Amino acid sequence: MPADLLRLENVNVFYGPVQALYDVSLRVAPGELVSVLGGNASGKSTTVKTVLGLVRPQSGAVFLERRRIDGLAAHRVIGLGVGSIPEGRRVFPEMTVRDNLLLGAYTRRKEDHAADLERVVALFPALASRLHQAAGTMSGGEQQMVAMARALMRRPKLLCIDEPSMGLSPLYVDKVYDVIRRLKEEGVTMLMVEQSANRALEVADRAYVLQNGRVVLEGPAHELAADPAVRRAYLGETA
Amino acid sequence: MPAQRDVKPLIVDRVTKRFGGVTAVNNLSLRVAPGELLAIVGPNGAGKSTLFQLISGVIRPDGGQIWLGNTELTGKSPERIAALGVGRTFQTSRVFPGLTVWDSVRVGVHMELIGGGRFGRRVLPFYELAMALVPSRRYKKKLAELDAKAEAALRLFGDRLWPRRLDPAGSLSYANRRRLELARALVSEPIVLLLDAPTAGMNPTETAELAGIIAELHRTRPAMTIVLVEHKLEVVRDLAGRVVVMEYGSIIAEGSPSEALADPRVVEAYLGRSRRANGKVEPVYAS
Amino acid sequence: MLEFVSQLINGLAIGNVYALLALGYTLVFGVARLINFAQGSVFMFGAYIAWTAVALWNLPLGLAFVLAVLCSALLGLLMDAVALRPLQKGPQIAPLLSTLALSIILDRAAELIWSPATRSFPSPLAGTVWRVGGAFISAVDVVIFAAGLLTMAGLAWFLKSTWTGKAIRATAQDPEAAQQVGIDVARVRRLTFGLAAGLGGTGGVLVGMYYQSIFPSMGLPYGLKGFAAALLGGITSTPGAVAGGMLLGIFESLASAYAGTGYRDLVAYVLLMLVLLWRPRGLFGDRRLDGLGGSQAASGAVPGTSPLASAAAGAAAPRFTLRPRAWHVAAALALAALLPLATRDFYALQVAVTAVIFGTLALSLTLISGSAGQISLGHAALFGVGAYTTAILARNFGLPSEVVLAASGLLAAAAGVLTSLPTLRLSGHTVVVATLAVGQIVHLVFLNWISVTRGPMGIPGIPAPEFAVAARTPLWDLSHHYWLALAVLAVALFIGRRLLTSPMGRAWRAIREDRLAAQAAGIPASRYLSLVYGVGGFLAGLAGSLYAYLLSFVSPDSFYTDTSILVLTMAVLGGLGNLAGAVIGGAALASLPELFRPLADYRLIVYGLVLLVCVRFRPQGIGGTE
Repeated sequence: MPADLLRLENVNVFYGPVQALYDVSLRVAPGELVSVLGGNASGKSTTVKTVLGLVRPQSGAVFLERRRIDGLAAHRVIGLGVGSIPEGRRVFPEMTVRDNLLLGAYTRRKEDHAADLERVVALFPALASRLHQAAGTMSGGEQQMVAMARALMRRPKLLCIDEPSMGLSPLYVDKVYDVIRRLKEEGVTMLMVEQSANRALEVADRAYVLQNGRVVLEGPAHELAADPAVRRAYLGETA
Repeated sequence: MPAQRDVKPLIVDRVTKRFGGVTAVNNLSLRVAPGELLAIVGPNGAGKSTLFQLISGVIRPDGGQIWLGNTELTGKSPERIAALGVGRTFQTSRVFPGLTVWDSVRVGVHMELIGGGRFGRRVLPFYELAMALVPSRRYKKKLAELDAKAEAALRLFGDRLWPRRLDPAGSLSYANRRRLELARALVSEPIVLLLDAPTAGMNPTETAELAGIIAELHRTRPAMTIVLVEHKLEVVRDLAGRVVVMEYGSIIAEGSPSEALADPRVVEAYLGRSRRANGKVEPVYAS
Repeated sequence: MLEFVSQLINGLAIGNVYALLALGYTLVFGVARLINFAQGSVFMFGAYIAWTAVALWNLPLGLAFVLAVLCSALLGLLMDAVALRPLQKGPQIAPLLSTLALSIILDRAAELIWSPATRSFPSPLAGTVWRVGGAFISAVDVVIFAAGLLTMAGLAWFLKSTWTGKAIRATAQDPEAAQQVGIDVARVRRLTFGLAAGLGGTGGVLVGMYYQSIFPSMGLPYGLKGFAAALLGGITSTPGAVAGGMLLGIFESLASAYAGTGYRDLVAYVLLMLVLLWRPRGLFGDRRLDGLGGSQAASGAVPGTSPLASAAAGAAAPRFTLRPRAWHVAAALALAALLPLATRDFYALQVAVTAVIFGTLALSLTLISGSAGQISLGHAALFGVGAYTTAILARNFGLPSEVVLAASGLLAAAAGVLTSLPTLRLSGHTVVVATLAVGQIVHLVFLNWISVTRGPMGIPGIPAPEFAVAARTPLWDLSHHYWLALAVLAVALFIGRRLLTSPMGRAWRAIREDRLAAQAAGIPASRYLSLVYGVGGFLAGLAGSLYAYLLSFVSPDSFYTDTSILVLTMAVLGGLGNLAGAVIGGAALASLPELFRPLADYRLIVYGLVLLVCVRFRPQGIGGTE
């Protein structure tokens, strides 16, 4: 078994008195695309926030390669080689697209990143003509492109993606997944949180299904795609 | 209870709201009949909460109108809309953290005390000042009546809230905050009650309990219109007479719960659509 | 025309200084979401460092300039580390109080180090004046211009083009997203504090050069103007801060040239008020102006929550809250009434009456700022309206004290309701500015409406209180003043308590906790805010009346913004919305400087330190927030 790039061991997270994650364990091998699925408020976003250091687990451990990263501040985690595409895009609204992208390379600011800028613009050709537009004036779909490009500027060894299709029109969801597929072909390791299960299971290698903060299902994506339990976890249908 | 119940439909007419480049609600029209229990469902970011903000006057639409019966709500202040009979709860459960539970609910009866909107004539602030300093017997009686209403609203939740009535609302659990917000909205006896994700953060037992309370309200106050944004579809199935499914700020399906939730477009909206090589869209779970 | 051009140049020069100060507020607010009220003190400090370097150490001006800016920046870092960073998780009102405490400490420290006297700032450029087409331009104008513009251009370049500058902007726009691209937001915060303080110090040196004189209390007026300029521009916008500063400078100069020097500040603050009414978020403002309180959902038409919301709840809920029963209060008042029997010491009684008056005043403000959550920096205006009403009615018309007291209270209540009007559309920090502007405007009216107020000379010879029911026997004795003040305090406590336990008090607190939710529950917020300003004004007017009777003299100096700040400090220290706490806070802070008298020159520094420690370890105030 190859060493995992990311491993969560029995992570418990609380928001005040409310427990959001119960003993969540999860692993991502190098080159894998692992998806965390679940309905609203299932704890899937908390999972990725825990990895990023935005939320501190009360117990349990998070390892990146062999290094323990729970308790590290977010900028340290990013500094160790993690890229993040946040939920709701979170572009810097009053900055140009170009500055948004460059800030993606903040942790590598002493290195040369002109080539990276060209590379990500090639991946998102629509951005080429809009580099000097303020990011806040773009549509939701375009902002998602900016957020993805920004994270890629990091040259991450692990890319965390939080709800990439949220609030996007079908056209942009297609575009987002095209990019994710391409990144997968290029060998980028990804941890993707997604509500849109069908979409996620088409591209993922493996997936975890969360319900009320617990992992209720896990396995290869193609197996889960055929499992009616997934549908139950989402739609609350009684069997 | 006011002598005669007002019975008015809630009408949303071609309403649009944009935030920056994002269209949250897109030319949406909706009519809710008096006494109906309508659920609005849809994935995150579909515009459900924005619709509530628009109806309750928290934000103003970029286009379109909202009516309660013959009264236009568009452009009115939230307190005016509340006085006209629209009560609501918030997605993030906005209780008054520094007020006691008891005081928080009594805020809900305040407009009846001062005679806002349909509760009769407006009372002069000077009268209110005088009554606060040296209350008359009539005023005390009125306060006692309103307190009784507030108590009834708290007791609706059994011993969840009533024994904690002197604790600050900020010390309550998430589930209790949601109950408190609901109690606050109920004491004003709204014509239309907007419930934004009332069971969020509740465990299955608590969810079932609250669903039971909503069902009970629907039964005991048949004239009250309830509009419910809810993520837990089992709750929607149990409660709603009609379901409206939103995605990208528009309504993509509506009908009875069994119809609406079985609509392939809805299954898609929740589970995501899958793409086949030929570009045709087919849900994986077409049954 | 020539005059106009000269004044324009003047205005731009001083506008440069305001702009530098405003940029400091803007940067700190953008990144840390707080207003640093010690910015004016840093400005003063910068000027003194430069003065020391030039006048005492004979360093060249340029070197002195650099030294001053560096020292100011260090001071900024120190302030953040000592007084602000530890409060990050505390209630959002805490930084306000601790920066006020810092400014007290710094101002007094400057008096100790450099003496309170005005120092002349040696300027090698003085006297060099060019005539350009008839208008006069001095070398100092040019230097200020160049230095100001260079600094601003440098800052703009820094923010736009360097990695660190971009990190600052990113953090201001979305701190969570900034973390997710790997920005250390804590470091950005420290840097911003240093940078803002450096800008403040720069402004101080420029003003020293411009007016060629500096004094330790120069920080407050400039600090307030800089704050006003920042808000004019819309506090999160850097171009807005520059535009706001320039605009303020130009309008001021033109006003003092064409309407008289007395109107200088009046015009500045009226302008500020008009802009706020026209564009509540400032000229270049955005929704984040709602500041600490504004939640995402409320950033539309409705002002959001008060910065004081949930100070009572949350993680740092106090273990103890002062909630005396009615008989406790009555017993305490009765006990206090025995004081004149225990001592006949004139000085002690004088302090005691002042303490009781300020206790009442703090109580009146705690209703507005504590219960209803409207942070007011203009409360001295209402206090002053009461005092002036008493002075005029008692001295010029010889009315009995029943009538005088009632009229003082009612007029101040009316002034309170008027104050509330511009604040109704505002929330968060803009309320602070609107009340600040009202306070300044009223102070300037006292100063300039000479036919009624006798202007800066004040009104002396106010007769002793004499009540018609007591056959108009004049109450000469201090113990009588004391008992009268206690009686008024008792009335104020009764009114405050009755209102706070009534539905009206509930409505006030609901508006403070969550204005939007209160409105959605049917509370007409505007009406209740006007009411609370009216009631607070009434009680402040009573306190003002007693104050005028006590001193038998009123002058505009007693009713300036520093008094407003002091009263706010009292209310916050007592625990916002806590009546008994406010009385204790007011009485304590009014008498502490006297108690510390043995400490002589150090007493105000100790006072500032006591405040800092209180905020640090009991951010909810002594009595606890209600």
